[in-house]
Amino acid sequence: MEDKELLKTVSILKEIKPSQEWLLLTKQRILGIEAKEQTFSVFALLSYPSLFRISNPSFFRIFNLSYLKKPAFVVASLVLVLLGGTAIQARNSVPGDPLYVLKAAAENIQYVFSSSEEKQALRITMAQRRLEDLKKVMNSNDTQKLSFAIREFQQTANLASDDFAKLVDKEPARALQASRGIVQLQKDTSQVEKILGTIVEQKEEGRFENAVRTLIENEIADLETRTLREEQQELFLEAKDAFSQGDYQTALERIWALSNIQ
Amino acid sequence: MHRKMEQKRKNFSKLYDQYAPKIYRFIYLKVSSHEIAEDLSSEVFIRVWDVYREEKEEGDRVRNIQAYMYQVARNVVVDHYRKNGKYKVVPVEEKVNIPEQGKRMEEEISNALELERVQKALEGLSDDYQDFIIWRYLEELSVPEIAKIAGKSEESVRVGTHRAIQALKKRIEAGV
Repeated sequence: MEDKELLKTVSILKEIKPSQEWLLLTKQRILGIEAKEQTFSVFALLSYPSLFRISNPSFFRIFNLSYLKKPAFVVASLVLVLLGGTAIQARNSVPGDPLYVLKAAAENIQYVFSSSEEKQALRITMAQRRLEDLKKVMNSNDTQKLSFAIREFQQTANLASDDFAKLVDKEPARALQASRGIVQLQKDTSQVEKILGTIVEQKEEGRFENAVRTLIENEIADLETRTLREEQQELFLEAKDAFSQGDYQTALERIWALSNIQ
Repeated sequence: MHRKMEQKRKNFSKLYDQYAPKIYRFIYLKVSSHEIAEDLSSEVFIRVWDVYREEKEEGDRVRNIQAYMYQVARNVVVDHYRKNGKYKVVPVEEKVNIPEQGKRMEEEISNALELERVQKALEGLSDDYQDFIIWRYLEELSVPEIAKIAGKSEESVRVGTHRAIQALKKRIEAGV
C-alpha cells in the first residue's frame, strides 16, 4: 500500500464527529453552570436590599467610596462570599443530597428571570442535568437516592415536553430548533432506561408524539412550497419517506440536515 | 468584572466551537464509544473553562491552549483506562455519528466498513503512535505543535510519526 493511499484511507476518520445536539447542550451546560452561580449570588444580594441603602442620597455622596467601609456593605459582601461558596458545592449535589434543594432553587430562579426565548432551551437543559444526576446516582449504586433522582428527572422531562408541545403550537420556527435538544434528551433517556431496565420517562400519553408529528407535518408542508437544491431535495424525500413510516426521529434528522445546507 | 467574565465566556465559546469536535474525535478513537467520548470530552472542557475562569490576565495560566487541551484529553483517557480497563466491549447498538448528508446506501455502507477497518487498525497501535497519527494526519498539526503537546523533541516526533504510519500500514494490510 502506497503512503498516499494510506493517508487517504486514514482521512476517512475525519468523518467521526460528535452530534450537534451534544455540542450545543454541553456548551450550554458548562457556561450555563457559570451563569447559574452568578444568579444565585444575585438572589442573595436581592434578599438584603436594606444593606445597600446609602444614608445620604446626595448625588455627590453616591460617588464617595466611604460607603465601602460601612458594616452593611461588609456583611452583604460576606453573605455573597459564603453563599457563593455554598452554591459551588450545591452544583455537584444530586437529588437526595441536602444541598440539592439549593441547586433546584437556583435553577428555578434562573428560569423565572430568563426571557421567553431562553425558557424552552433552559427547560431542556434542566431535564438534561436531571438525567446526568440520575446517571451519577446509578453509578454510585445509591438505591436510596435513586427514586428521588428518577422522580426529579420525570418532572423536569415532562415540563420540557409540555413546553415543547406549546412551542409547536405557537412558534413553529423555534420549535424546530428546540426539537434537536428534546430528541437528544429522548435518546439519552432510552439509554438510561436500557441500563435501569425500567421506564424512566412517563409522559402524558401521545402528547409529545403528537407535538413531534405536528412539527414534522408543518415543516414538510413549508418545504413543499420552497425551491430546494439537489442535496436538499434528496434529504427532503428521505424525510417524507421516514415520516410516512412513522420514523419521526429520522424524519427530523433529515429536516435538520437540509436546513443546515446553505 | 462582569464585562471581563462576559469576555471570557465569549473567548471560551469560540475555543469550544473550534476544538470540541477535534477533542471528541481524538478521545473517541481511543475509547471507541460515543457515550464515553462525550463524557470525557465534556470533562476536558469543564477543566479548560475552570482555567479560563481563574486566569487574571488573558493567557497568564496557559500559554498554549491547544497543547493544554490535548494534554488534558490524554489524561482523562488514561484516568478512564485506570478505572475501567483499556478494552471495552462496545454494545452492538452503539455506532459512530457519521453525518448522513444524502449519500447513497451503498456508499454509506462502504464508508462505514472502511471506517471500521481503519479504526480497528489504529486501536491496535500504542498510545503514542495513535496520538502522532491523529495529530499529524487528522488534525493536520505541524511537527512543532505536536512536539509541544507531547513534550518531545521535533526529531522524536518526526521519527515517531514515520514509524506510526508504517505500523498502521502493516496492520491495515494484514487485515488486523
